[in-house]
Amino acid sequence: MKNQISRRAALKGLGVTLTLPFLESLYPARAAGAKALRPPQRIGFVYTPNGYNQETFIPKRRGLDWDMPAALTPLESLKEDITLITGLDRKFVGGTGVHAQCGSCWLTSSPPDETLDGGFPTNVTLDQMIARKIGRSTALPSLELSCNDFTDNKETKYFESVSWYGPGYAANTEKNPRNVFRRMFGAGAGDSTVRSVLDVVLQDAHSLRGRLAYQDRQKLDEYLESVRAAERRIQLSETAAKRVGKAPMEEPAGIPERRDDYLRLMGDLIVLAFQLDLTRVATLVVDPERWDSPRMFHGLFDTPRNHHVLTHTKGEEAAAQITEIDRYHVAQYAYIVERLKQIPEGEGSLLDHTLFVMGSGISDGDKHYYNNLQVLMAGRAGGNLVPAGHLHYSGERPLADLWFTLLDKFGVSAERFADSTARLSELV
Amino acid sequence: MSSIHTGLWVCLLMWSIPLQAGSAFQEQLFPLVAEHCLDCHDGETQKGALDLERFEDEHDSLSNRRLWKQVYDLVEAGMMPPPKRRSKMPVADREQFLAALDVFLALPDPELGAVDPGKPVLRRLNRLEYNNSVRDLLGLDLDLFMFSERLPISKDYFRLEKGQLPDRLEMNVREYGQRYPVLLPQSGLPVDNRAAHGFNNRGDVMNVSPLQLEKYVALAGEIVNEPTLPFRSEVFADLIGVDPATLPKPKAMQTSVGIKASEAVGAVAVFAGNDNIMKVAAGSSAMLSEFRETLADAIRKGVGGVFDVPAGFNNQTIPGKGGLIRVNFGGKQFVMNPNEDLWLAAFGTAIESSGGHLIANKNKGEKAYGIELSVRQGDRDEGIIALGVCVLSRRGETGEVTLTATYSNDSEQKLHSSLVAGEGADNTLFTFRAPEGETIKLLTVNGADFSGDYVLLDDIGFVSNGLPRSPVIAAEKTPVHVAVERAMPVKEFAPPRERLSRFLERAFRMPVSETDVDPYWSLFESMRQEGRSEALSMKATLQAVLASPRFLFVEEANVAGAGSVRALNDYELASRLSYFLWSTVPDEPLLALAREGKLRNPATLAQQTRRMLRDPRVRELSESFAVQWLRLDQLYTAKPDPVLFKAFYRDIQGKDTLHASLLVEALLLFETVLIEDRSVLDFIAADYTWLNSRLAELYDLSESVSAMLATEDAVILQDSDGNAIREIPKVGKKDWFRVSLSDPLRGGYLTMGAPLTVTSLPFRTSPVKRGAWFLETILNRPPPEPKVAFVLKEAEEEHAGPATVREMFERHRNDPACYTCHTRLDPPGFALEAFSPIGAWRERDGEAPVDAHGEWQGVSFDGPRGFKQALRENPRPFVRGFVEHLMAYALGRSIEYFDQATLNQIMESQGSEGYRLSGLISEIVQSRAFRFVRNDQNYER
Repeated sequence: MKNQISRRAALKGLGVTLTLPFLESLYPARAAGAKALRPPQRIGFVYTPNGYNQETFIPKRRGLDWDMPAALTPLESLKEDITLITGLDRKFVGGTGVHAQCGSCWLTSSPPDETLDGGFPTNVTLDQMIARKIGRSTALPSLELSCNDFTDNKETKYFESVSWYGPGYAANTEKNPRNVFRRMFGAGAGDSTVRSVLDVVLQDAHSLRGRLAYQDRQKLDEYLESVRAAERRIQLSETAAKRVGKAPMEEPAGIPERRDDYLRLMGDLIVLAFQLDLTRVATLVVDPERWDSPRMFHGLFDTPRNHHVLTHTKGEEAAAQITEIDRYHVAQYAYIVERLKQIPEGEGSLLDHTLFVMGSGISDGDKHYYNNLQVLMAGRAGGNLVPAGHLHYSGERPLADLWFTLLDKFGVSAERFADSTARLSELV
Repeated sequence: MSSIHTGLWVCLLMWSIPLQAGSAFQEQLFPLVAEHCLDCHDGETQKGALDLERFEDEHDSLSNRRLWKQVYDLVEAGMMPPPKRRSKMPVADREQFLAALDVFLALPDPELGAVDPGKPVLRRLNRLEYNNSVRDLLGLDLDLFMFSERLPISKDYFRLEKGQLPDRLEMNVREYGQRYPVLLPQSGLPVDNRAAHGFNNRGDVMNVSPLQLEKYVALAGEIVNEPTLPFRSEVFADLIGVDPATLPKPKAMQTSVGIKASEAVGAVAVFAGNDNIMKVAAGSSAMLSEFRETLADAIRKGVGGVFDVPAGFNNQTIPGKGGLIRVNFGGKQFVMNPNEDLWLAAFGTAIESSGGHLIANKNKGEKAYGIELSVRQGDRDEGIIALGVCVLSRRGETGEVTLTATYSNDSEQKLHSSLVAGEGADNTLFTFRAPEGETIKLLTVNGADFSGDYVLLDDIGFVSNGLPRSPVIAAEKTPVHVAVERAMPVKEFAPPRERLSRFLERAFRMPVSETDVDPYWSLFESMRQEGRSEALSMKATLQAVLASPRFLFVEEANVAGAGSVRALNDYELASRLSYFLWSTVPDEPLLALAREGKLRNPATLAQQTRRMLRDPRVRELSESFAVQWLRLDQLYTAKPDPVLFKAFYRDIQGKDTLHASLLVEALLLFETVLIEDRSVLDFIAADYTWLNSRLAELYDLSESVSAMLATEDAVILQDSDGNAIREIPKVGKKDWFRVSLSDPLRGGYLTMGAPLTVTSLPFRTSPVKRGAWFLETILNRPPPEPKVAFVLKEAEEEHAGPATVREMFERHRNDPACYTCHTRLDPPGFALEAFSPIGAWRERDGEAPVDAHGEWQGVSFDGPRGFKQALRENPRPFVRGFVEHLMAYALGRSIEYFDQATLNQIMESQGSEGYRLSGLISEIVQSRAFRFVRNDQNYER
């Protein structure tokens, strides 16, 4: 068996089935004589900014026989794996920018009126809550990625990450595929020097903590927690490295020039991390909200486009371009889902043990509507969820009800999540 | 004078008698509140969820002053009482209200029993500060890594000795995104996001996540293990106890660094050391390995060498007339004499065959050039007989490159190669050998069929036909050389613990006790016990130091028993000062004063502030503070439409843009005020600006530049008889002139191209963005976020298509939900409608004439001149906004209501001084907020 995926093959998405069932040895389909272990559950979130063109994103028909609006056509071959939920709502909290809360509070566990972070209801996010449950034994408890490669420091941290550790405490995103690769496959991870370094700085951080006032202590705790997390990662990475061996793909050289290559390469890395059980939870910010800098959408337009400005531009032409951008992003999402589906695991595919979610924090980007959101989901979450086609919720129903349901699907017990009212009983 | 004033003021602030505020509040303020506010904001109505009626109790009001500060800002801005309300607040009432509230906000804090100086902020170094701190701790002359906050402008021009900038400057600007020499070209840290309405050094906003921490640890490891570091940093060499003279020089250091292009450089011995030659041009005289063998043999014999552009040559031009590149080898010089301007530079999307720099044509698109080759100090007819040249491939550039060797008999050999696009994907070697008895006298490069603007050459390997170096001499040389080395004194080092301890004091910016040193020392010792050398053990220890929280955070501890407010100690003050003005660690003079306990003395502090303002490191204030304040960090991503705004793009490919020119103009204004100690009022209305030829064209001021040139040259250029030469030399993009402005249109940031471009959309202007930029940057009163997302569109649909952008906004403003904010947003936005999205003057917006009239704070204006005049007549709001920005940057925190006392004080004392920038900086440094910190006396460890 050849353990090589060339990056080119991965990039081009040639539909190669990766015969790399690393986990097969751990989770065999039919373990001879022994009780088979169930493959672990995985969950991934893809965030796209500035809402979607509502005209071309929402199917007319509901249920399993849903129709394919223009932006969703890349999902054609994946229809049986998709659950598309429309009509759930969030509440915008006044006082901060309309875009700033879109992504930063998309997965937050704080209800809108609990603004522990200045005016923001940021708090530990859904992915992090699930990671605390299912990510304890993997080298990376979770992976936070972003394809925001703008070099102008235009926006605040609320635009950078959808994954938060606590109120005001954002997870840093990794934007360079090479660095993601190195984190996954241990390059730069701990030799004994790094361990000793971590020991010393932890010791010094403790003594510093003793000298600080209350609020500064909380700030320093971010550092302390990070040192502990780094120690833990080094430990688990070593075990994982023994199991995984040589990385089954080449180290990426950096950020690919083409946008579609960039997004797919990040997707490849997530798929690989799931497949090799290096992490079970991942988030990917496709692009930040607003961030008024034009960028190229390679293969779509010949010149750079400003997604945010387009959402506020009148006319059919702008609307058509937004549809194109929506479909572009859906296509990259579909690529990742396809990859997950191609990889056999246990009795089915990696996708069967995964839930791969995509959404935006607002629905209509022009009007900044926090209502009637769209959430795409693919996979079966390890058999805990049956794809249900298009589910629509009319009237007021918080998005948090979906997140509350997913907590349950991933075995996290909770009384509620943010402003949730009840689980979505239609998701079984 | 100002320090006496300050000293007195501090005494007043420390005055902590029981509060008598209530009476003033009740007698002066509350009647006005009752009359003008309680209609809507009483206990019953509570409009906007605001109940002011409950504040009859003065104590309650005192502890809710954050809210009162909001009330203050809204009333001052004319947004409350609502402008459309029938009964206006009389001007006298308004002034009395604001004056009384000013006093009220400045009162001591009832809990602290003193004016609140702000709580301590455990502030993480941002990326710029981290880079500068490590750089300065180690005494390096280059950045650690490349990062986007570092402006692509060479700092050569920034000279403070004379206290004045000359009227003509040469500015060297790198292409945006182009690589430049750093210690670790492949490394870096994540960007620090700016705080909302603030800077990227806000302690409360910055986080450390596991990812960030891992990067700190890894980066520290890369720094201490970088092989050239002991050669670049004496501090580092001493720390690890190594004398660089005894070490073999790493490859990257084999050429000298930092020498001028006019000097000769040494040939290097390695040809195309990066081993990334992908092919050899057809017809070449030798393949790579064969050519290397020939070269190695020649180098041994002293008849050959390799020229690789040394790092110190970055961005050097070798003039086509009179310029030479001279390369020493075997006691002789290989001389290259180009017939067109050559450029020695780094190119971002090429992968060098060695080193970080290469040779290219200087002038974009002029891809044909010849280089005459000769050997000096050699035998009479000595010349080059074999030559190897690497041509590099670059991202997105393809096509054929031809290299021609012309021999001494005038015969030629042409070699062609078609390059495939890609960063280093098709680096190609061309090799030539002269026919027997001949030499190569000229190398001609032709890239006419190549798509790129530049043909890039790297390593040039050469072999001469001179006589081999006498083996006798070589043999004699060896013992002499050894003798010299033996005679060198062995360098002595202090004991390792002492060296470490001294470094910790500098890195932590604090005195360190034995207990502080212990954890780091134990790491050193454990490494030694594992059998590692002293140098390696110290490197690991330094890795820990550079990843330590005490290095990464600026620490202001809670001090038991020091009272509710404490003065910062001398070291803490040194850090605040150096991170404010230089974005780096305190230097030795500051630390020395801290050790002696003298820095806190206000006179010493003032003297040090003056010293620091006259040090070139103060440019960081312009590069970091000014760039963020003015939002210039967003300039390069502004992409005006190339069809509509052709003036922005000079060349066909659209690479030669106006970005850099606009950036330089904006920076130079800040730096003029900084260096020449001028008033900050220059920022809103100056009677001069800095222009190069392109901006002069954009602003239609070319005549002013020509006039300047004529007079200047008459003085400067004289022939040997003293006759003035009137010839006006060609003015390049690099030449900058300070131009006096008789028309008040330009001058100051409001009407400057950079902000006008940053606040525009690619196709049109945006009065809202310009208005918001004005309110936030100039006044530091950012407009509230819009409550209603997009009324504009609906409003439009009811009418026929509006003719101008202004008309669209006029309609929008008539919506009651939008009126209050747009009363403030629109006037500056409308005034600036007279400028196109790239800052050029315009009379028309589309078909319709521009309408730039409006009213600002009761003064009617028509156009930007009038608006600037209105602003200049009452400059206080601008100056206060500026001081608030600068103070927030200095303190690494947001400005709060309790800073009102400090602000009032600075405004008062500096008004008579004309608001000089140095005065404002000094006042901030002397302020209570800067020198004191809140301290929790009841806090237990």
